[in-house]
Amino acid sequence: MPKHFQFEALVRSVLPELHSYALWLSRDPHLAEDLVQESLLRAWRSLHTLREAGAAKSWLMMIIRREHARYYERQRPVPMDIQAVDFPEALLTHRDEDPEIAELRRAIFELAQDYREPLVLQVLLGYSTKEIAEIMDVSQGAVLTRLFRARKQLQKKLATEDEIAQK
Amino acid sequence: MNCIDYRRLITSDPSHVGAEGLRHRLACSSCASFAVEMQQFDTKLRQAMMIEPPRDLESRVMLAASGRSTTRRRWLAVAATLVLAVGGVVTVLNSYSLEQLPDHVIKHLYHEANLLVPVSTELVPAPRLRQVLKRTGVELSEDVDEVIHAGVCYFRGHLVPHLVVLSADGPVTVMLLPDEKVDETMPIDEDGFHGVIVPVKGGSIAIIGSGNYPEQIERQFVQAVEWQT
Repeated sequence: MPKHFQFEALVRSVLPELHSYALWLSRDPHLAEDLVQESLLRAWRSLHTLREAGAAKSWLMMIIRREHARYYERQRPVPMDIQAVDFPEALLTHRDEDPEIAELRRAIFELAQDYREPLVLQVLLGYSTKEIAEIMDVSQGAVLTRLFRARKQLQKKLATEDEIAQK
Repeated sequence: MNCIDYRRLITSDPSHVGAEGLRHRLACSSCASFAVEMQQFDTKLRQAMMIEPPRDLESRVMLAASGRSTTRRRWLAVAATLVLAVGGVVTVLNSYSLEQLPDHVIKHLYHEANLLVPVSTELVPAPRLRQVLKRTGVELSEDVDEVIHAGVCYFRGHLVPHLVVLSADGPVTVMLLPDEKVDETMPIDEDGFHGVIVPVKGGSIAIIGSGNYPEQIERQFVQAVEWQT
């Protein structure tokens, strides 16, 4: 298969999940697009070394993660107050979507990075807690604790939203 | 394993509770219900986490891979000048033959298959349509009717407008192709799609539907289209 078509197939197979990961990592739609584009360009340059889309996805995820970290290193000092970042309305583009999903999306957006990232790696990209521990360079126990707290916070937030809606 | 341990485990990792967790679930109906709730919650989580990428991101990546752009921040500037530059530069287009053009149009329709059955018939506002066309160096000298989708696609080495126009026989795809010079009308009749690629002012327009041939739409676009290259 010509390199161009091979790359097109790869892009199509990984783009939705990679873009979502970059978005939840950065919480900035524009930065997320740059991160995805940059990582896919690296894939283009090294296409001959890639054998399957599954392996490419992990590799690209790591590039996105590194580039994202570098971006914030260059931006220092930046206060990382999670409340200071406005929820981008671009995340609510599905017209006919369940309102609960929209609330959940807002709640994920407001999770602290330490809780949000392992949850996205687990739920969206399907990594095991052991793999997440390696990616994030923390213990597996710490990952389990963060995942537990992340889900609890989301459930609590949704329950509170429900109570407000019922009043 | 007791209920507290089980619930803590399943809240952390709903898909991997292990043999001990499974035994507890089978023995405890309350925890079994809790597990179902957690799995339903995770299904919603995944739904919420999946955000569709912008429609043109794939095209931008492909364009960047062809060596003409790097990041989104530079994208708008590059896109605006790209079409102007293309006229004088040997491009990827040279590797595509004119005979393959109808096949490539059909292939592109399948690639954008979601547009063949539009979920909405809401009209694209005229300013948005102008904005999309401008990004690819195309203008319309007069308004066209019933455009329900306007996007930019990467097609045979170029960014081109991909429009969907509503007709009495359903949605009609209109691709404006300033860089595809054809000498005479090329018919398209494949897989239930009927249409033509018509030569227009040194470029061409592909018009394809699945019902009767939309002559009215062809007339509108042939009259109105202006290439800015």
